[in-house]
Amino acid sequence: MTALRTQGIAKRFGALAALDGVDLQVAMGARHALIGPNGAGKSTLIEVLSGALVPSAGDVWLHGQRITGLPQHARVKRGLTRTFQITQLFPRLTVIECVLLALLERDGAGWTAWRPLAQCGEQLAEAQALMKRLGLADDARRVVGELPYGRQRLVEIALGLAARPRVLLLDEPAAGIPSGESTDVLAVVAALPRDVTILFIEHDMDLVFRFAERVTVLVAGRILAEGPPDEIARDERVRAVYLGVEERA
Amino acid sequence: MIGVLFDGLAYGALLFLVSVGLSVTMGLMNFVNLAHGAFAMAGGYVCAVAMTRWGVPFLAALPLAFLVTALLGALLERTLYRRLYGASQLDQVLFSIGLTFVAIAAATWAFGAGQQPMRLPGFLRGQWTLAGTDFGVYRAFLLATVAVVSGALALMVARTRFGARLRAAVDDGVAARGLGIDVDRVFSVAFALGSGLAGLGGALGIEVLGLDASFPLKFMVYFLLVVVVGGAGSVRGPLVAALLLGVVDVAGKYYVPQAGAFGIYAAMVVLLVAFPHGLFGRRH
Amino acid sequence: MTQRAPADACWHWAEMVFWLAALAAFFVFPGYRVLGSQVLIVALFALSLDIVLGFAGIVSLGHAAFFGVGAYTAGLLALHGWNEPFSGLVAATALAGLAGFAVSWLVVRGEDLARLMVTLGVGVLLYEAANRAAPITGGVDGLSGIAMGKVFGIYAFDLGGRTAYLYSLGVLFLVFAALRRVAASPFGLSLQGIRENPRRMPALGVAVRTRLVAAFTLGAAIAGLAGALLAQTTQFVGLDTLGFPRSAEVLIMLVLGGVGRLYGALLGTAAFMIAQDTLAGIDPLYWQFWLGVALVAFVFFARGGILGAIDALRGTRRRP
Repeated sequence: MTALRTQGIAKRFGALAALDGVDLQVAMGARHALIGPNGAGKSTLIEVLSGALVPSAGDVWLHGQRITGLPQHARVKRGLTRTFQITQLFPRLTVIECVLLALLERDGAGWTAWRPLAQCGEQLAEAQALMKRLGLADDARRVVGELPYGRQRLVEIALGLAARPRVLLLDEPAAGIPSGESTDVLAVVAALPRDVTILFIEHDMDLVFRFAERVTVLVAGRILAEGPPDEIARDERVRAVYLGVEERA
Repeated sequence: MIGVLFDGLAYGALLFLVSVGLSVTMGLMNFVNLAHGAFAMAGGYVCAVAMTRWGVPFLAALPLAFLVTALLGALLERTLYRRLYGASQLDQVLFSIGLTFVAIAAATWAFGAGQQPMRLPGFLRGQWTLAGTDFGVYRAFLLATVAVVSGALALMVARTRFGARLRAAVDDGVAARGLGIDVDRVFSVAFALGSGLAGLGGALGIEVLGLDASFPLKFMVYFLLVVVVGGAGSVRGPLVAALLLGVVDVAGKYYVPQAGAFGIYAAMVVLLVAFPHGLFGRRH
Repeated sequence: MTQRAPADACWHWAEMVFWLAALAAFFVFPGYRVLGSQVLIVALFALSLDIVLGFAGIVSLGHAAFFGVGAYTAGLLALHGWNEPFSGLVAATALAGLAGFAVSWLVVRGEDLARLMVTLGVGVLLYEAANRAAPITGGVDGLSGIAMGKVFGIYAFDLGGRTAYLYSLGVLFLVFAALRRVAASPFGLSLQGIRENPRRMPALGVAVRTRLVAAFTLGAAIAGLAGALLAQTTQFVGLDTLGFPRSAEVLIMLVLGGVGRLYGALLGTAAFMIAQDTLAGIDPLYWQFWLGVALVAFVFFARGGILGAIDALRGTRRRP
C-alpha cells in the first residue's frame, strides 16, 4: 500500500491548466522530493493533496483510502499535514502559543473552554520539547510577528511536526532559513521515524540530494521523470529543463 | 400593477445612480464605504441651496450638484481615503462611520434637522395618463435621465481609454500597475466620478426619497444592499439589483403595507446567502 | 520585544483594584447609580461583541439585534406576569443565543464583505420586524409598564438605582470572570488563531466554521443577557435597543477601549458613556460631530484604543 497516491489529477484556473494529469505515488516511509522549474505546479499539487484546493479532475488516496472529497481539516485528522511555502503563522500569538494551538487541536482539546493554557501540562511539555529540537526554546514567549523570517520558518516547521503526521507535505521547508541552519532543520525532519512519510518540494538541489531517496520532476503540470536522485541527475530531459538555470549543487 | 412596476423601476433607477459609484469603489479599492450616502446628501443640498438661495433653475442645478460632489469626492479621496486602501475592514468601517457622523452633524447645523422642501419646475410636475394608468412625469424624467447617464457611463467604460484602464484595474490591480497604468490616478478619477454620480442621484432624489440630515444613515443599507447583491466591481450587477430591489420594495409597500421595508431586507439576506459574491460579482 | 507567558487563571492585582473600584463607586457616588448601572449593562454588551470581534475576528454591524432580542424577551415575560428577575435573564439569554445560533450559519459562510452585510442586514431586519409588530413590541412607543419582581425575593428595583447597580455589577462580574477563563482556554486560543490566520487553521485540523458558530452564538447570548438587564433595570424597552445606531455605538466603544482584551470593552464603554453624558448634554450636535472626527483620527493614529495607549506608555504590549 502506498502512503499517498494520485491518479489523473488536473487543476484548471480558467484557461490555465496548472496540473494536467498527475499520477503520483509516494511509498510508505518515503523521503520523496518534488522538484521542477517555477510555475510547474508543485505548490498547486500540494494544495490539492492537502485538501485546500479541489481538483478539476482525478483522485487522491491516503493509505489506500480515497480522500478526494474530504475537506482539509478532515485530512489532518487522518494524519496528512502540510507546511506552507510562504509562512502562514499567527502574527500576534507567541511561539509557544502557536505550537500549543497545534498540539491541542491534534489532541482534540480545541473545545475545552474551562482549563487555562497554563494548566495544559502535557501539551506544554511537548511544546517545550519540540521547540528545543528546532532551536526555538529561547523564543518561546516572543510574539511570532516580531521574529526574524528565518525563525518564523522554524515555527512553521514546528507546526507541521506538532500534528504528529503520518504523511507530511513540506512546501520548500528551507526557504528563508540561513543556509548554515537549513541542513540542521532538514535533518530534524529526516530523523522522523520511518512510519512518517515525507514529500517535500525543494529548490535547493544540495538538500534534495542529501535527504531525498526518490525524486519526482514536475514540469508544466505533468510528471517528466521519476526515480532515485542520482538517476534524475543524469537524466537528459531533466538537464534540458534546468539548462540556463544556474546549478546550485 | 403597471403603475407599481413603473414606480418601482424609477425608484430602482435612482438607487442605481447613487450606488454605481459605490460599486466601483468597493470593487476597485476593496473599500467598504459606509459614508457613500453622505455624498448623495451633499449633492442634494447643493441642488437645494442653488435653487432656493441663488435661484438656479432645477435642470442647471443638477450638473452643479454633480460637479461639486465630484470635487468633494476627489478631495476626500486624495487626503483621507487613499491612506486606508490596504487597511482592515474594521478600520474602513470605523472611518466611514466617523465620516458619516461628521457629515450628518454638519448638515444638521447648516440646514436644520427637517426635510428639505423641493419645488419642481412646472413641466416636471403632474402625470400622464396612458391606458388607464397614471405615470408621474417626474418619475419618467428620472428614468430617462438615469438611462442617459448609464448609457454614457457604459460607453465610457467600454470605449474610452480611461474605461479600459478602469476595467483593467478592477480585474487585477497588480497586473494593471505592471502594465504601467497609473492605478492611483484611476482610483481618484473613479472615486470622484462615483461621488459625483451619487450627488446627482441625491439631487434627483429629493422629490422621491426626501432629503434631510439623516439621509446617509437612512439609506445606507439600501446602497450597500444594491452593491453587495449586484456584485461589487460591476456596473451591470448593481443595475439589475437596484431595479429588482426597487420594484420589490415599492410593490411590497403597496401590497403589504404592514410589512414595511421588511421584504427588501429579507430579500437581501436571502440573496446574499445564495450568492455570496453577488449576482454578477467576481471572486477576488 | 514583546514577551508573554501562556494564559493562566491568576488575576493581576490591577484587576482586583478595578473591580473593587466598581463596587466602591456604589458607595462613593450614590447620585450616579442609575448612570452607573447603565454603564455596567452596556459594558456587558460590549464584552459580548468582543467575543465576536476581538476573539473570532468577525466585524458585526448588527450585534444590537441580539441585545434587542434579549431586552424584548425579558420585557415581554415580565409584562405577561413572569417577573422573577433571574429566570427572566436566563430565558432572554437562551433565546438570544438561539437567534445567534441561527444567524451564525449565515454569517460564517461568506467572505468578509458578504459577512458584514449579513450582520447589517439581520440587524435592520429585526428592527423593521419589531417596528411592524407594534401590537407585541409596542412599536415606536416601546414596551412600558414593566413591573419587576424582587431580586432574591428581597430587593426591589428602586428609582435610585440601588438594586439595579449591584444587580448589574454582580451579573457583569460573574460573566466577565467566566469569559476570562474561556479566553485563556484552548477554545479561546483557537478563536484567536482563526482571527489571526483563518487559512492556517484548517491545516491544523480545525473546522473553522463550527468554532465561529460557537463564538458567535456565545456573543449573541451574552448580548441578550445585557439587553435583558436593561429591560429589567429600566423597566422599559424601546426600538433603539435594536437599531443600527446601537450596533455602531457598541462597536465604537469596544474599539475605543481596545479589541480582544476583555477589559477594553469595559474601559471603552465607561469612557464613551461618560463622555457622551457630559458632552451630549451640552449639545448633541457637538457630540456627534466631534465623535465623528475622533473616529477618523482614531483610525489614523490610535488604533489600539485606550489599552493600546496604556501599553505604549508602559513600553510593552501584553495581550493582542
